[in-house]
Amino acid sequence: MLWLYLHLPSLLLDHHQSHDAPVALSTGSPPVIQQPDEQARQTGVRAGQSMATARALCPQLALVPFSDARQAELLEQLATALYQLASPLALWPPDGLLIRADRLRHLYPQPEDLATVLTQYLSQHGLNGHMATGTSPRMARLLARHGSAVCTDDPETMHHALRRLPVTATDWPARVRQRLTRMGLQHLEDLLACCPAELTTRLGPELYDDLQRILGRSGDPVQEFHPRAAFHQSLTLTRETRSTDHLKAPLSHLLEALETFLRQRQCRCDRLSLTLHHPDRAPTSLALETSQGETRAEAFLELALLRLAATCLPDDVNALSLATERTVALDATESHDLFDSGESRQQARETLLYRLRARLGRDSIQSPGRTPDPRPERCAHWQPARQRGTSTPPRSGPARPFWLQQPPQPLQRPPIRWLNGPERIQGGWWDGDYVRRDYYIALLDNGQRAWLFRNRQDQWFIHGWFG
Amino acid sequence: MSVHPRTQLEQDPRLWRASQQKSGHSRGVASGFEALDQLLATSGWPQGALIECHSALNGIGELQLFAHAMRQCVRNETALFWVDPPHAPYPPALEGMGLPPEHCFLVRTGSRSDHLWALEQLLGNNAVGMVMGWSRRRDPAALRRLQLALEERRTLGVLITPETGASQASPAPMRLSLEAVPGANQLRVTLLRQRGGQAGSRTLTLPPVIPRQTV
Repeated sequence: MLWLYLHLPSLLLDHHQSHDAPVALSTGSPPVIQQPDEQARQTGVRAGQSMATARALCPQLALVPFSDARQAELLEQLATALYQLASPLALWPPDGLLIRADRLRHLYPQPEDLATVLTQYLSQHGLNGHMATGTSPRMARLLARHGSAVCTDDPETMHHALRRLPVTATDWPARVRQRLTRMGLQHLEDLLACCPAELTTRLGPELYDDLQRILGRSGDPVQEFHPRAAFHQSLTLTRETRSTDHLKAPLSHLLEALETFLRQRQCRCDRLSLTLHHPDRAPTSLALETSQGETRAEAFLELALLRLAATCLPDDVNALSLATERTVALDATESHDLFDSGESRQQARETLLYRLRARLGRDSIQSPGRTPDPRPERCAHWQPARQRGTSTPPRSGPARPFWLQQPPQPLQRPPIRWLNGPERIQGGWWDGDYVRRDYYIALLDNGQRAWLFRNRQDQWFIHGWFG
Repeated sequence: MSVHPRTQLEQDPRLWRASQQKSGHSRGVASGFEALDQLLATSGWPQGALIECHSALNGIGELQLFAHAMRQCVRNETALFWVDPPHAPYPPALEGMGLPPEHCFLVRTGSRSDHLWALEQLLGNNAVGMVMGWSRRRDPAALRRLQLALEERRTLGVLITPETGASQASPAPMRLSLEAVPGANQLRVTLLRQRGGQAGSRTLTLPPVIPRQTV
């Protein structure tokens, strides 16, 4: 088996890296510098210095508190991005990724090819990383963390590099390392030259077992990483801002990650939630919706900027997070409609009705239906739309109003002009709701064209309007 | 950090630039009124451009104005949708107008966001020939969203809003104001704005309400 370990010594720092100001990670309480970036290091800022010293050395230093959760999130983001290039892979928190290189031979014949692709990705995204291969996960990790750039599929070379590894470069407890150094065992080869029984008695069985795992002689199970099914990413801004212009760049960064996410899964998203986090306030949540479902980052960006422009932010924003609320599978037949044929249009209509029903409820989409009844309020109704309507021949007859007023409204003022009438409608003796009405079409004083009737009691009602 | 107001204005996504105008592809659907077609830049109702229609009253002939376009739409076997009309359209009247029921759909939404969502879905769909929506409230951002969905489609989109918004700015490429001529069975159509054409006003005599057969 061949493994490639990618060690990311400054993942969180690289994420906060900016061109205009030096950045350093701080940790602990009272806080001390944990890791300064290159710019800060040039001004003399070193790890372990107090805040006051660091600020005195470099007044414009931007300090970012170290967060385990953030580090883990970034590692997972990177793994998701690299999943496309090199999988199977596994997370090795807090700062490493393990790639099963022998399963990628058909893509990358030599481990160097894989390393080139990874290096290119890292440099494009401004990340620092060291990588090394090994015949066991632990071997690859130790070599990568030590910085020995072994990238080969030759076991001899890897073993040779491992033997030259100083004992202090291992991840054993400090007590063990110190003891080994005192015993005069400087390199792993010294340790390997020892008799196993003696090692076990002197240093305990754990060390010997671990050595076997490093050499790949005993199993070391690795849990394979699989990207999440829903997209959720957040981004911390180096500077707090509320200006839409300043939010645009980080937002498009997030949306590009979303685009990659959607493309990898062959789906589109029609509902996104964008959360803007404020330093001392409840976050502002914006829901972005598209009609068809979208994949492209630029389309989402336009929507998001529109929403932002219309939203009044209560405070400055220090972080953004983006999550998909609903994704829809890309439908190849729908998206590549070369000929707008009648059949596909019918399909498109059904898809549309389906989607409308899904969101608005079954009864919200209605189509007209008829009942044989002379009474105007009973002869027609709206029913939940069927998939395929049946065609009925158009009937000619007296004019009917486009809008039916139900129940009829008493007529308040006499109409100013009679346009048509009367038309007698009677019926309903069979169910006890007998009506006999004389219908007229008339122009009301406000300009509406109304459908009026007079009932048997000589009362006047408006029963509809001609739209 | 201060941003120059002009820069800020230029980057405002709500700003519509005249250079974004797409020319040459917009087609019109005859309105059935010759006097009106002469006024319209596309010789009829423009496809792919939101038509915002202000009308304080219903039943003044606002549907007669679009009746020809509706018939054209069902003739092409595309669907016709009414979204949240003030009353339910009366099916016998649809038949009288020559609109077969299998192409007519009524959409009822419960909330403002659903209303906009439904309109956006419909306007951006090729299977839909014409959409008529009734909005109680005008919201320029929402109108812009609808216009974006409609852009480059062959759908006819009509949004009927109450009169109150006529003085506000609107992203809709075409805006009309409708009013009845008292006592005359006529409709006055005032074209407040249209893309690629001039504003103007026409008074249309509505066809008699008994189109096929007198009693």
